[in-house]
Amino acid sequence: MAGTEKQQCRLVVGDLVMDLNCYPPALADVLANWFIQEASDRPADLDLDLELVAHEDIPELPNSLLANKLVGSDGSFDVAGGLITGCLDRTGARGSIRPKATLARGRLLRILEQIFYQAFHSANTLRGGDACLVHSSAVIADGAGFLFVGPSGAGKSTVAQLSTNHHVLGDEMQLLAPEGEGFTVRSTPFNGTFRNKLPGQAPLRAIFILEQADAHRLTAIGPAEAASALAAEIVPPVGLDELPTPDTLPAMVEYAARILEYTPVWRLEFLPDPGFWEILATEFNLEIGDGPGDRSDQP
Amino acid sequence: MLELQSILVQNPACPVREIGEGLVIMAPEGTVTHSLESIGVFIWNHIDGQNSLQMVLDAIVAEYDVAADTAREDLLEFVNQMHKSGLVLTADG
Repeated sequence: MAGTEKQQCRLVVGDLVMDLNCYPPALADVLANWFIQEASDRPADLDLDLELVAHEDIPELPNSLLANKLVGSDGSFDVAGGLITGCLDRTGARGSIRPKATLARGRLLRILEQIFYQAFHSANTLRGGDACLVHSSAVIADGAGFLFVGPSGAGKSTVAQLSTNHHVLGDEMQLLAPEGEGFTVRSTPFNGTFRNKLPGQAPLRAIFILEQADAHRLTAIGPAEAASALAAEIVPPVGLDELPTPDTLPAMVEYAARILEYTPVWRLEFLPDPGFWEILATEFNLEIGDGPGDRSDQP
Repeated sequence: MLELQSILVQNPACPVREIGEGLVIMAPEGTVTHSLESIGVFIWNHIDGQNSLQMVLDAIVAEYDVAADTAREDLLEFVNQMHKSGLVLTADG
């Protein structure tokens, strides 16, 4: 390491806490401004040195941080030909992440975020957790959590922007975890384009597969289609020192199937206006007003 | 291009999960899922390395209220898509 001074940034994802010891120290401020998250004074589940690596080349940016990844038997990993390297010491619950410095700038932070999905899974495994990250937007309305999923361009950010009368948890990545007879949806620090999100959590009431259309429509879909669509948006449960295996996709489908045991899934066709909330209010018997956001579930 | 005399077999490299009355079939490359409901499941269950597509078509027409011509077109389109996605293989490899 070029220097020794580090500054810490905490990353809180659900009940898991990761301490990021940042070098250069200014990186901690960049991340603190980037991540919108809950505070936590719990002990860290994973302690990571996060060191930016200076470089002169213009690295090629991958579509996926899993597709071009190498791992070593010593816990080391290399993503996209050195774009991000590091290692994980499972026994000590610590490790390092060394991204090329370009990833700490502007929109490229969204690529850097993805290594923290893997860090979350490492911490989740170390703690024996059972939560999963889902590429989605989510809103709490009348105390109930609603999850909106779909591929990029389906309208997750649009739904968030159209839901500012309610408590928007985020438009990029939410955490689902089993709780009692069902699942809870919870915000995460990870960002899409919608920045006015608020931390929070609520019982998961329904999931919507999004489709932009010429009218607002809510239709039932078959369980297999629901599971397939939901599984496609579950972040592969792969840790820092792991690669996807033939069991990874079946595990994602299995998790989707578990969610479906408790949570109905619908297809929501919608226009770019908030009118779909009237349909949801009717279907789910929600008491929602026209005033400022329904912020009843902030931590 | 598959034809009615083709005999298909389910790709053993594709994990399958029953969900309700449907199926989620995971493509062999491990990143994509396909869902089947209703008649799709019926067709999948008849792809067993023994039935020709003509026999599958006959079973569809007997089971569902559908014209044979329409069923043939839809069946061939469906199985060609499944074959292209690697979910089914021709029985002769």
